Amino acid sequence: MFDRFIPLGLHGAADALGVDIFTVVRLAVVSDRVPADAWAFSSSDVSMLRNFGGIESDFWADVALPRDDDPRRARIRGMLARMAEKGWIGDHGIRSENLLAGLEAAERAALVPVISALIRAGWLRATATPAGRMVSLSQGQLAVVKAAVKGSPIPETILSAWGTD
Amino acid sequence: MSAASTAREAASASMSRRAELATQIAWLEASMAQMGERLAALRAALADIPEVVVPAPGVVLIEGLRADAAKLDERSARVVSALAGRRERVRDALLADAATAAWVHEVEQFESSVRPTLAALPEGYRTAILVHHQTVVDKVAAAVAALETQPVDVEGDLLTVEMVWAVDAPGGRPELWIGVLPVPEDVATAGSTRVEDLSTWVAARVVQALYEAIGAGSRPGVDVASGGHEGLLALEVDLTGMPEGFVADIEERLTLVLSGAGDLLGARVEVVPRRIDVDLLLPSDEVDDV
Repeated sequence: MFDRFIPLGLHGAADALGVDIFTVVRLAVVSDRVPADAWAFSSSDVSMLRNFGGIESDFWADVALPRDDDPRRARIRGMLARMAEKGWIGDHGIRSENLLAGLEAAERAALVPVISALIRAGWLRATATPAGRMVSLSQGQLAVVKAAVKGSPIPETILSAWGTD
Repeated sequence: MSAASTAREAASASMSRRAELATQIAWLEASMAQMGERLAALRAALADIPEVVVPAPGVVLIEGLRADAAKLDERSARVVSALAGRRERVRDALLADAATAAWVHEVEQFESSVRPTLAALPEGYRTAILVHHQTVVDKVAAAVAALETQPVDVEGDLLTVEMVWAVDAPGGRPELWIGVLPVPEDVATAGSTRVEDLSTWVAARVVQALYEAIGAGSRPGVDVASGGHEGLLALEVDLTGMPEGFVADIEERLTLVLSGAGDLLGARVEVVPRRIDVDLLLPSDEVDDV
């Protein structure tokens, strides 16, 4: 019972937010909440860091992946469809780590280079903010992205990035 | 001259020549024996002198950081132990306080008896109970936080360790800030499988200083990248497009944060940032120092 009242340390806060410890530090800095004496975070501190960083863990909740004989393509199409559905387009971005929340570690690792490839291809737009990198569907490529969601081919440069890190 | 006389002279000359050669051979054999003894003595003397290889400066640097990492690790064990001890004392002190003990008891009662019935209550009652419960939880949390957010103090001599940093500036234009810390590289990657310790806090304070400097600069979205360098934690900041004086800002922030962090002061640890030539960290054919 007592333990639930003990403030979280860096690892505890990182686990609660689903990020690494240096992201916790970054969010504490940009939200002006760095503990001067000891790395200790109350539950309200953690909530504040979560809000400040735009951290969400439900990106893949209730997502039914499209039928596709290539599981990589299914995941990419599912991700792009979700972003379009939620309106993460143009200036309205989502924290890039949110795209990975809830996935198995292996799939998370595989998807990271794909996100980079999508940014290089211009399908996604990345914006560096003090709290971290935000991504959105590029307004100019929206028609191409939506066509890919519906089943048109995804360039090999994007598909082959799967799991290359 | 008769044939006999000629034969005698030839025999005499031969004897004389053989004697001369035998003398030379004997002399050479004696000399060789002496040289063999001398050679053996020299070899023995050589074997007695240990081979001293001057390590490359970069190797010395890394060995120094590893030695500092070991010292931090040793101090860390005392900090973690002191932290656990303090937690026990905090728990005892809070439960000894009548008001706090009553709040804790109330929270326990809520979890065991009230929460299971909440779903059956009308929304107004449920909301009122949850609001009151949160008030009690906040009181206990505040009482714990007042004690738990203080840095833990350990006794011992001041432990001074170094972190090193350098700037890669091909063509004189700063492109990359690189720092190597006296902490294991897995501080960044191991997550909660690794015990949070002094090494974690040192790394976090350095990252804090870097993000503070970045936040005050012209590109506040720049990331601090982390990785490993010879098993130690390395941090990097892309300096492209950063204003003149940004490197000095980082240096100032590092000094300020590392000298004022309560957790490091409580552990009696001083982390000294030292600038070095970048080619001590990276192959010289790939980098240029400022």
